[in-house]
Amino acid sequence: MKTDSFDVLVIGGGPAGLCACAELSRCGIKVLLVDEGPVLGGQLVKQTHKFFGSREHYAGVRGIEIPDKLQEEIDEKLITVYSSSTVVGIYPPNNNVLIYRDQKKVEEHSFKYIIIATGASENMILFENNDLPGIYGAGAVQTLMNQYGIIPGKNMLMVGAGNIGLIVSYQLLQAGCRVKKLIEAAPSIGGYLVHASKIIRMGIPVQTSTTILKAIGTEKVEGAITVKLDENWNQIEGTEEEIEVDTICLSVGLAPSYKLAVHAGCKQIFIRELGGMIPWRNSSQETSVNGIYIAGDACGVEEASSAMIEGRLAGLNIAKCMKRLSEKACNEKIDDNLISLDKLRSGPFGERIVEGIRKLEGKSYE
Amino acid sequence: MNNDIRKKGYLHYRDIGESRFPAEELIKEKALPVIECIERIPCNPCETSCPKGAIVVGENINDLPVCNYSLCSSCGICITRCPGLAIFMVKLTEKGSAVISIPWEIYPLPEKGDRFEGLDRLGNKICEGEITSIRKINHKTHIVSGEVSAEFYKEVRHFKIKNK
Amino acid sequence: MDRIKNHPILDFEKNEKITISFEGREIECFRGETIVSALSVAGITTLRENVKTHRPQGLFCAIGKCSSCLMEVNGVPNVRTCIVLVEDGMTVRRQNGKGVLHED
Ligand SMILES: Cc1cc2nc3c(=O)[nH]c(=O)nc-3n(C[C@H](O)[C@H](O)[C@H](O)COP(=O)(O)OP(=O)(O)OC[C@H]3O[C@@H](n4cnc5c(N)ncnc54)[C@H](O)[C@@H]3O)c2cc1C
Ligand code: FES
Repeated sequence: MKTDSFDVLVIGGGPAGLCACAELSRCGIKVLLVDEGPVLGGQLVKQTHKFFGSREHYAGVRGIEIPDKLQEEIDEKLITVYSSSTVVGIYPPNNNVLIYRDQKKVEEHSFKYIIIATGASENMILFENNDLPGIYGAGAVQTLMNQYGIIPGKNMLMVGAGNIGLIVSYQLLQAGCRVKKLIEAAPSIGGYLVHASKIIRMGIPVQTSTTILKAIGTEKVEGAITVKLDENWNQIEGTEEEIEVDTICLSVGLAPSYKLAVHAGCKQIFIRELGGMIPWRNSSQETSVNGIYIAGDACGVEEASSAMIEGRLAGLNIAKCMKRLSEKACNEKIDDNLISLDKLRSGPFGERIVEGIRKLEGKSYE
Repeated sequence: MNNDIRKKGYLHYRDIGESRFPAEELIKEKALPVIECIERIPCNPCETSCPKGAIVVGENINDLPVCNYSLCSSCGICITRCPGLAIFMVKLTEKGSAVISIPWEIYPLPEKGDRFEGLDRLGNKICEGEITSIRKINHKTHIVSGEVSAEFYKEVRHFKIKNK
Repeated sequence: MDRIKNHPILDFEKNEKITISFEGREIECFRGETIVSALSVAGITTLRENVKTHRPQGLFCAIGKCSSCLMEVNGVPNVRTCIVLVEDGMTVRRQNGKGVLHED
């Protein structure tokens, strides 16, 4: 095993992980940052649209530009980055960690403190032929077109009218693809009206109370059959419609990716509002296992702006435990971040999250 | 906000409410923004980007923006900074037309003199018009202005450029 | 699938051209892209055969989370080709089921 000169391991270099690194390095703490993607930034590297939120959290800035801004906050001398590397296991009590370095060889390290900031993964829904090549998660479509410059398909069916479905539809137009239709099973769109408005006025038809019944094709997608739903979400016979598409894009929600926390023995609880099963954590972002923290989408699917704050909170709380900053200075910064989080969540779209956090704080993990 | 809007997903100008449109006397004088932001979401770049302090969201970042038209200098920065692409600028001309300025993030950028179909909020063609100016912005949300008959100023929200 | 030629927001810088082989077929691609993106441009959407159903499987998440893209790369099975970058001379094969471990 390697003798380690790092104080903290941060797993995942999305907004949560990068902000954790920023706070830790500001306190002079040495960090190993491991990310399995080839570049840092997590989901941000494919978000070509300007972000919502407040200016302190880079609202009005395109997502793709945020990772550079966050990295400017980090003292490079204190952070070592292993990119294209995956953390595959955490073994308490000494927090021995296995890292699959460069996707080629396994290394073992141990850390007193670990921050899990592994983001979320995409949900799947049931329909006939849903495993056919040409059916992609919305994130995959974004990766292909915005990260690697590839047109993911000529004619698309988009499934799901939450913010991601709406935004990715717009991004598809920007990449020169045709979105033939956007369908949503719920009776109304789930995302922001402004996102829906901008694709509808550009001619993408949005159909609510409609779902996908079947993908057509044998080797790859050649079409799809959609069907209307009644108030009780039952399929209405005779409303099936066939549509010719070469790609089906699913944006039907995300679920926290926290397998590493489970592996490390962190206790989980079920909170629907935060995306289902999640590791329990306290308001310092610490899990039930001493020294293991979690932040961002990995502990509740939300937004980049809140992921950033949670990352900062995890970093600051570790700095506090390590006594690298006076308790008073730490507490002040922690309070500022907690206030920003409250502000972000104070609108109608934050209600669900606030309810989830309330449940989380009311429950212990036993 | 009524649920019907969320069902259809787009706004009719009546949904936006007369009070969100600047009065016609004012837009005869100068171009003014129509802020089509009627849903409480945590967002305030319109406020922080306005050099004149004309747009106010206020203490709660979820509140809706309000524009003080007398402070507005018609610079159009808000059009390019709204992440929802929900701000448009309108001006009524003496010859009975309206110049509508919209945010533009699609390839290719139109050219002055291009003819277009004026699309309403549902993407339906309701009139025709001509591009009068293009302002290229370095952060790549450009401003494209087009002229249509004045009666359509509350309705046209996208320009579908005709093949040359 | 084609590459995007003009994009209103993004510029795609092209790195050095390299070649990988897929099932014996030479495929030109650019350093810095993933195996899956190179294959997609070459029109290859079936990456492996499902362990149980033997149905064709393609890309799904593109961020290393779902295992839909496992292939045999340079003789090693179960490589997540959506997060591994191309290297000159790399050999890529479709994987049937669980793949085979080769002794070296
Ligand atoms: C289409 C779309 C639009 C969005 N728009 C907005 C918006 O306008 N405003 C906003 O605030 N938010 C927006 N978001 C949400 C935002 O992108 C996410 O909430 C945010 O990126 C979450 O940050 P994170 O750091 O928790 O996770 P991620 O950004 O997902 O980063 C997780 C990182 O962890 C790495 N990782 C995972 N597992 C491992 C492992 N085992 N070992 C090593 N590394 C690992 C991954 O490679 C990844 O880089 C949008 C999301 C999408 C998909
Ligand atoms: S496509 Fe999901 S792991 Fe590669």
